[in-house]
Amino acid sequence: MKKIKYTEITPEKIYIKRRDFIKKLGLTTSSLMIGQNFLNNAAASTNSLEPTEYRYISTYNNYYEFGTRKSDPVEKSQNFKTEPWNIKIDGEVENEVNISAIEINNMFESEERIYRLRCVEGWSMVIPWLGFSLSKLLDKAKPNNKAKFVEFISVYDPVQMPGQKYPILQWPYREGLRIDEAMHPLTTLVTGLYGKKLPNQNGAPLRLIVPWKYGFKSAKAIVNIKLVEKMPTSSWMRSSPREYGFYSNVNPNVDHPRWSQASERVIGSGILSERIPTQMFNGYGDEVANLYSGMDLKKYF
Amino acid sequence: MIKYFKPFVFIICLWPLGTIILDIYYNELGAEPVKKIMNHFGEWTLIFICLTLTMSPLKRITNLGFWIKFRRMLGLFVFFYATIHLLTYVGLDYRFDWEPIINDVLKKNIYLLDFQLGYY
Repeated sequence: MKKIKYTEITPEKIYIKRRDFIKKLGLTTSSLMIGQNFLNNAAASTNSLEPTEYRYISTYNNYYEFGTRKSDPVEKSQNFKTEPWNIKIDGEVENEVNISAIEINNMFESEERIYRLRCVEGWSMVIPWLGFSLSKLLDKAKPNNKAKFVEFISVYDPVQMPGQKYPILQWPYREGLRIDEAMHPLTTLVTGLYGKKLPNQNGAPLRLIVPWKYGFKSAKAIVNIKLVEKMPTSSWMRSSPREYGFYSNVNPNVDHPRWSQASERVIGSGILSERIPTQMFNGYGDEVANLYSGMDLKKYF
Repeated sequence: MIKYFKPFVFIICLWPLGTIILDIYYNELGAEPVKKIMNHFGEWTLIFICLTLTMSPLKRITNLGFWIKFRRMLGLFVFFYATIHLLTYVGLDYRFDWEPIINDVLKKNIYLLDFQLGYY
């Protein structure tokens, strides 16, 4: 047998750390490839509530009414008319409400609300919205005791919204919440972004934000809020019931059938930043977990 | 003639690498740079596969042996871009953290095509 020289043996210390070593090797190579100026960006990625840059929030959107590419909404929504805009609240209510977006703006004071937004596709942002709790508006309509669910119906206008000419989803876009979810103080009716009027590509003039659910649950450009007795079918449920459930709470333990939801990429955090672990209820568990006590969240995804 | 032509084609084949390096350097990759880099190399891998597979039919159609001289080089570029594509996915996106990769590749079939293409 050939004798192995002592110098050829990997020291135990290095042997134990061999995987770490490979990791670092990879990182070094990629950082060498990439150069210096990204190292600065890389630090800003951790789990803080540092708002994402406005240029990303306003140019990287999923808004299929204007097209399926991320850049379509900003490119094709600039001439979209948001005035006049009326919202109807009807269905199981004592007091049907017909109100314009301007009246809503005057009636309810918007406050800054900085929330994480987790897209079902696996990326996230932190967004400083302006808005108020939806419950304030719903209270005006006085839901009756048959109102178990709330359905949100977005605008249908294929002339102004080129994406609606294609049957990608069932138009108009529909979303829904259970009444207790809709009345939760975190559920926000959004009127603005970064202290200004809401840009068209982000769902002007009025959109919903439900921060503990995947982004698609938060309907944009809402024209009708219906209180209903039976669980409504949302556009995404109709399009792919296996992939998109009614609840769609952010949940790292329940994978999308086509990809894992365990981690997410933070938009604008730079090329060398790591994916961060996705949090249960997007980090709002303290506030909302009690809405789902006793529910099997794997079954009701 | 071919002596000068081959290095010329070689440099042209490096074009996709050059453009992405410039984009990275000037930070022009937008909101999801890692995804964009990954897709960039994935797309160019497919383009080079097609180019490589075009050489033999071109030889037959045009009756020129000339084309065949580029086939191996283009094939190696397929390998080159496929390797960077894979490295971006494993290294840059998942930091050589194998568990989620194995999980995604084995349990979901979305990446199956990529790996199958890599295998052939």
